[in-house]
Amino acid sequence: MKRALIAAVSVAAVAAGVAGIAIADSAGSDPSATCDPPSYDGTSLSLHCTVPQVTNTVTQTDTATVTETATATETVPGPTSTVTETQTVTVTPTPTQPPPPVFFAPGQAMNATNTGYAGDGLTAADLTPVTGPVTYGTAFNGQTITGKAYSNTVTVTGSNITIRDCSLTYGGLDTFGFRLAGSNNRVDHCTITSPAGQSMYEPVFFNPGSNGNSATYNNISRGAQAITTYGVNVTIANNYTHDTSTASDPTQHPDGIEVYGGGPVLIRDNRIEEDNPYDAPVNVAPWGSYKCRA
Amino acid sequence: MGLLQVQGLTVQGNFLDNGQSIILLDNQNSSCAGATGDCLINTRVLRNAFGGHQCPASNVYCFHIFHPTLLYEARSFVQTDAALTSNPNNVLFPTTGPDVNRWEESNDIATPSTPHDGDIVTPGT
Repeated sequence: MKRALIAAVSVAAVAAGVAGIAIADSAGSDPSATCDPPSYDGTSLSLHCTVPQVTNTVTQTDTATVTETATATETVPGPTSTVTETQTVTVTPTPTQPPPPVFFAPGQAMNATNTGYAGDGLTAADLTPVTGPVTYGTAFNGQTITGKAYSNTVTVTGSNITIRDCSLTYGGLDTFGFRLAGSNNRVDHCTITSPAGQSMYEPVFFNPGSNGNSATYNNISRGAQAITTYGVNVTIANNYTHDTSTASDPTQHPDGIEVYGGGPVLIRDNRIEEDNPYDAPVNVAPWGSYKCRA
Repeated sequence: MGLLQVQGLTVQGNFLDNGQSIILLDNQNSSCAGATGDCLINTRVLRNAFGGHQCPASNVYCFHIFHPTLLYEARSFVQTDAALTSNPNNVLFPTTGPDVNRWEESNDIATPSTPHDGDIVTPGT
């Protein structure tokens, strides 16, 4: 914006005979003014001066500052203006969660929600029923088999086979769940149990001569024992075994894990609740002959 | 039948509860009887939590609560790997140092005269 200012002029009377006159305004003398010689008629003194019009130009710049708490930057054409914006954000505090329990042994953390197929976020409806006994031989080497609902014994005689996210529900006298007879096979995140009123003789069984097999993150219940091993290089880790049962064979002596031969065997970070007043969560008993009857 | 020996067993980081006794050590192979026949060797029991809820009834089959081990042969529980190496028929079950086993989740049965949560497990026979 520009604004013009016009100087005001005042004229001072000059005595007759004065050859020149000084012109002054409120801003001081103006050397650009010119005057005619004064005339005096005996009564009054006349003086005629010409003063060029003076135009002053003033440029005014208005400065503004914008302060926003938001992250966006706004560019406004023309004069910059200042806007201060205060934004109030109300944050609703998250309800305080209780701290997770601190366990001395990692196995204390294993339960029905982080083992079996439920531990991988599946439900029974996600599984495909399989009827009758199944054998995974060498034709299945290297494969991963998932999402099955077995209802009889599953025997694995191949190698590098993984059975994951499954259920195996079976029961009766001398019944087996998984029989691991090959090498480097794995049963993982499976829920293994018996129907109500029955029990399983060996839910997970590592055969003599088997090598490098493992059972991990399984939920095993209603077995006369949960796991029995005669294998070598065996890993039994992060399983939840509970509620042993002799419903189908009251002569059994239930254990959690039976180590009857082989080795080395690693039993690590499991939760083994035998839920039975007899025998032991871990029974280490090298046997003179095959203890299993089947 | 040569595999019917246990040649190396590590029991580590587990929670173990119920039964008559938490860990039963019982060589039943008559071809290498006792604690010197190398049929049950290199056994390690490290950093487990023991629940203590063993059979409490008053009969000959129950050894009562807080029963950590049942040892059928004259093996020794030793503190170090070196001691186990010197006689692999022993059992490594430390009661000092970072690998001790402790009683846990047993406050419901604890009394002034029993172990309490956090107490170190001392193996018995």
